[in-house]
Amino acid sequence: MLTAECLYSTTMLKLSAQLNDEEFLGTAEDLAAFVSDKLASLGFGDRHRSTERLVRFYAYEGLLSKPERAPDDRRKANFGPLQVRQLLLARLLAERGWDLDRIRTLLHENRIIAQLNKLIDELATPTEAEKLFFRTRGSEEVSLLLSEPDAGSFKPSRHASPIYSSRDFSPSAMPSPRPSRKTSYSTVQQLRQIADSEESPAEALRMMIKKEMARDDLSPAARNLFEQLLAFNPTSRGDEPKTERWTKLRLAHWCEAHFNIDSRITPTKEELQGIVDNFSKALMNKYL
Amino acid sequence: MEVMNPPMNQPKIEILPLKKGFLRAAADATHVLVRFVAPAKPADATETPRAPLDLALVIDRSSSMSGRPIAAALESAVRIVRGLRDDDRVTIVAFDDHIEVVQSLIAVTDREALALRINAIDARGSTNLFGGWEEGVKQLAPFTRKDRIARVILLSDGQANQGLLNEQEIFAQVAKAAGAGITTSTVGLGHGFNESLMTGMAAAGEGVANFGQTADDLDEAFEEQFAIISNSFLRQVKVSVQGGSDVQVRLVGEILENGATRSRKLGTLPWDASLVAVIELKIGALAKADALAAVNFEAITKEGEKVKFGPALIALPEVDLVAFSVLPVDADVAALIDEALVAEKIEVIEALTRSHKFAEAKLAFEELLKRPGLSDWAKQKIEYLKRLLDEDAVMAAKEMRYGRTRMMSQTKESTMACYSMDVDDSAEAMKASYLRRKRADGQASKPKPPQGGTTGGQPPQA
Repeated sequence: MLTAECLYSTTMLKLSAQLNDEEFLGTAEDLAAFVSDKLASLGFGDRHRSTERLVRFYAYEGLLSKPERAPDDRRKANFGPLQVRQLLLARLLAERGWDLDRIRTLLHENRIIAQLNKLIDELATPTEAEKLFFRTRGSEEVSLLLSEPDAGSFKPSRHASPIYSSRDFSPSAMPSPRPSRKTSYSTVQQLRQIADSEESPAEALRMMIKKEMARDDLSPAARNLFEQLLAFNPTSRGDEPKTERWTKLRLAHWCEAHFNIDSRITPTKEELQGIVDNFSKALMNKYL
Repeated sequence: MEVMNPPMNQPKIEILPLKKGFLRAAADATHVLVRFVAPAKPADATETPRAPLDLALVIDRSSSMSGRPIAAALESAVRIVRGLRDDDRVTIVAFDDHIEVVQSLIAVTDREALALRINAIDARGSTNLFGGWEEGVKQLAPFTRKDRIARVILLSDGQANQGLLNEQEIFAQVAKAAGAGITTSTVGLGHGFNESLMTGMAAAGEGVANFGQTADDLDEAFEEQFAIISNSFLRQVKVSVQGGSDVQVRLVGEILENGATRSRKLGTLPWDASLVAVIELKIGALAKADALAAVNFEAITKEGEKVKFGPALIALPEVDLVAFSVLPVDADVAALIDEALVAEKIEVIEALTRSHKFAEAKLAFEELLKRPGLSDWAKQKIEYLKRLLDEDAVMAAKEMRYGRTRMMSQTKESTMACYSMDVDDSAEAMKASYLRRKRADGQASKPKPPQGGTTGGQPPQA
């Protein structure tokens, strides 16, 4: 029989108390799976899931503390309960429209497990004010990182991304915060989309700019730049560039004619004959 | 006088007509004063602790704030932080055309560290006022709780020139935040600050609008604001009135309109104080004397619960013209009703001043001074405004804006007394800061202390 105490503990158990992650120690992939499963079991939807790529992205962006090195294999990273909480909070807040800078600042100011537990419980559900003033969209970078990589998609090089460097798995405090910027990964993805676009690259760029301009948080300088770019962008496919094809005709050993016929035009036999007749007549009139 | 007698620790609604009778289908309106009165603090409580505060100090650091304005803003911000409790939290946002979170929301445990951060803010750049305000809201939004008071205090000259500039759209966003539990107060700084934007934001944000030139001027304003918060019995009080059959009603100074129901936000009701509203009734031939109008109040308790009080019915006996002409008038009720009506007239004079029609404005002030039954406070205020109009029309317009808002909305004593009597400065000084009647809104009314004095230099205690 359920007692009042049982009911209380069932209904009032805080989110942080339901993590049961004291024993957790694993790789980026393990961390992603653990937090995804945990959020799913707590009733959060599929949008809140994580992937190994996302974990590495967050680590690169300074949202997750650097993992400990495994004692048996120094090349192997061990994420623990601290990163579980960091990742869980980051996923919850990113899906509620928090940008990465804001999440990073929050996590940097709350570096120990007790503080993170308090934050998780306090921020478990969005307040009315938060729903009004934060756009509930997942971040673009996260959306890209949650999708399965297809052939030829961006693979961060060892030089571009320090997380792939074996030197980085050193037990230390949080990495120093990265300067505020959009990641190069998302920019490369966007440029790749433009380059691979079946429409004209100009049109794809225009669509990308128009999408960016819909952002509320765009700075005036960026908006001005985008407006200038749009002003120079063609609104239609425009004319196809002309392919000039000069044709040389030797009419006689003393006479050579060069013709450039617009490649878009296909003259009929009669039209060509008319041109020849007119040319002959002109020659005769001129020289005879 | 009709009084709804409440249980212990409940507010009471008092309906106080100017005259205890009405003339059916009269050309002139009938005026009724409605008071929403808080009980005295419980005798067994030594202190009724206020709800903890989550405060966003949003400071305009644009280049137009250079010099005295930003010095006043920073010093005021430091004084506010020093007056907060350990369980309060504060966030500091500085804005020009770039928004900087100087300090994200944090418990006020190290006041001096916060003071250092505030004092490091310098003036530069243009003004994205809405962006700065919005960031203040975003810092508070995820942490709003029913049992905490969330407030943005915007310190600015209101000279917005970047980001969202449309005032009505800004007010709509501010009202949205207030509806979600984050109120906004504003402090206008500098001689040329935009009072339309600043008072509009405070009205929409269900907060308080103040202005001043120095930190000492603002000290009094913050002392008042925090005293209200500290002594809060109910917050976000709103009055609404619905006319009975064949009765047109108007709330003097109303801001909201909702079909047949007129409503007005009254602000915070402290313990042992009252909030008033003046209702104007145009009573038609078919009106029912026992149900001329119904008045309702809604508010939020300290615990964050929404509560409603009422309806209180306005009922008056119908009398004939002779009887009506000899009906006595309660002087204090008349004084309060008159102050609200005078405040509306000052709005018209303010519009004349802004259109540079100074001669007409002065004439209008002179007409106001001839009004019979004018309270001493209203008279002193009008005389001050008339003098200021000659000296500094820009500042006069600001004083008119803030002054009429105060006349309309200021918290009153819980007892109906002394409004018709002459203002006694020493008696005013003894009152709680939010009950004092001031002639000038943009200046400290307390004498400035000598060097090392205790008054004015102390942080406003929250």
